Amino acid sequence: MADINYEIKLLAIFAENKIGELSRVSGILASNQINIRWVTIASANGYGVVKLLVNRPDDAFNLLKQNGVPVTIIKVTAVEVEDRPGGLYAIAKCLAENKINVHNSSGYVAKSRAILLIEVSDNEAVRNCLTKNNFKVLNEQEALSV
Amino acid sequence: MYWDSKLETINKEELEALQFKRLIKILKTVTKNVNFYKEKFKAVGISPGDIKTLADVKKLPFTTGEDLKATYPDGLLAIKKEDVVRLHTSSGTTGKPKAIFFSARDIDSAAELMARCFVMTGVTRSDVFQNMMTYGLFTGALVMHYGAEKLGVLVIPAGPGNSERQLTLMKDFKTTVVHITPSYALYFADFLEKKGISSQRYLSLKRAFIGAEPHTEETRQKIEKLLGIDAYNSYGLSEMNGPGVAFECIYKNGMHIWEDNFLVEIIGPATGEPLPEGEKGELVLTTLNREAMPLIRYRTRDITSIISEPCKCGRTHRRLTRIAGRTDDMLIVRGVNIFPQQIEKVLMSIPGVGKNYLIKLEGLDEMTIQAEFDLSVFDGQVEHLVQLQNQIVNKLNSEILIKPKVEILPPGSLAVSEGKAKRVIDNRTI
Repeated sequence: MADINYEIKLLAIFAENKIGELSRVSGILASNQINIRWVTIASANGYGVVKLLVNRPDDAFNLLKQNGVPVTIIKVTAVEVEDRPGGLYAIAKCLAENKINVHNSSGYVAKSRAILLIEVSDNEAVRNCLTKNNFKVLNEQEALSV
Repeated sequence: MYWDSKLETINKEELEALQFKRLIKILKTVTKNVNFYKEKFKAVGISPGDIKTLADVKKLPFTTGEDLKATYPDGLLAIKKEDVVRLHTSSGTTGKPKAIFFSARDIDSAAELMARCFVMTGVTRSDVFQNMMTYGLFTGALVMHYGAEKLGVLVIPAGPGNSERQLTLMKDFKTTVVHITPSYALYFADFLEKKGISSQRYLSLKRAFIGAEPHTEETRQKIEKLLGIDAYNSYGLSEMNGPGVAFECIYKNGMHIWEDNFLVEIIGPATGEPLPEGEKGELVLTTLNREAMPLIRYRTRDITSIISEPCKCGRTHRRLTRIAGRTDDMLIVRGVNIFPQQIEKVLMSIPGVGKNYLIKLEGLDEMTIQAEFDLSVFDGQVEHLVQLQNQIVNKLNSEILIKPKVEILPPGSLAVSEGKAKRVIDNRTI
């Protein structure tokens, strides 16, 4: 029996020239029929990191690596946010009360479902905490099919 | 294990007697056959007869790189042209090159010293040696080649570059020893990593002789770790035969310099005066066993010091510490003297810094260091990149006393050389 995977893989790409790199990377992925579901760019001091959620993360990682793209895979937790005022607050409060330190987070809305991606050091701890508090944590398949 | 146990373990008295005998012979030869020296000695009023002890060598005038250029092409030749069998030149990045001649006996003596070096690191006849240096006018590859053949090692004269082919040769012929520049060694390690090849598992490599570029202990250790081998530092310069002038033994603590062939002095680069033993200064060498082109008190421009304590390997020839820099390489930035090696040392000591870097000097004395990071530490957190950058800035600042601009780049961003690496670009407009 295959374990259900609750760690969502994101591609993180070092980008000095953020838009140039994004165009190169998305070009490589497009020509290999890999679908980008979501993108975010973090930058500081002139450095940028482009993060992508794609439908085939392992294939995408290998492809980019072969093309010399400085890429790594980071694993995040995806949680569904109720699409109502206070939806995000409920999650943030839960994490704060449980003293979970979030490195980064970002959200997307698709088909009127709101998903929050949370980057933490310990995905299992955040998942247990959220599940215990009745939030819906998405597995890999669910996150990609939203 | 010695190649020439008698000469390699010669005692001090016998060595000094041999050096003195050879020195006098060479002084007589150059006074007779080389106009340049005849006139130079006359100008300071000295003749071979005035040299009564080895210490008197300091009465003789220096020979400099400029002298070699001024007497180019053959002004320092001490034998008949028909007795010369080989010409090498130095890289000559500025102005005229320096021409170095070898007689058949000189080639043999250089190979002899090189064979000592090979044996000193544990190489035997059953090893396979892949020579990844440039063959040609540069002495690096050929002198090493002749030394390996003298010992009886199988030599693969691969030359540099074409990493795919290098790898095929290594796999097919089970190469155990390579001769390589440190920058190419790092590049090659990266190449293997990209192909997913573990050197320890798939190759038979045991040793690398790294040289032709100044490098730091940190770089050596990085090469050793990445390739899973022992890397030995070597010292040589075209003016003194090329490689094999001094070499590390298995204890890797300084390079034994073959004192039966070279008379060693350390001087203050500014004063020209001999320094007390153990002090750091410019290395000055006199060839004691060369026919075609003897050089008297040649200023190498290399900064080092002498280790006189006996070595565990039993060789009596004293050791040179790692070359701290070449006086020619020294940069003066905002009035501060900086050797590129100081920067390399800092970079290579920081975990997370990759294999390649570049020092750029621009505008009005602005220094920018570009360093590649190691992809294995990239965790997608942009903050960690900034932390790495700050760490580099702070460590450099405490080492070189100025605060350079630092840019960190993904691996593969900087041009790599498969020969001698270019680490400094000086585009200052001052």
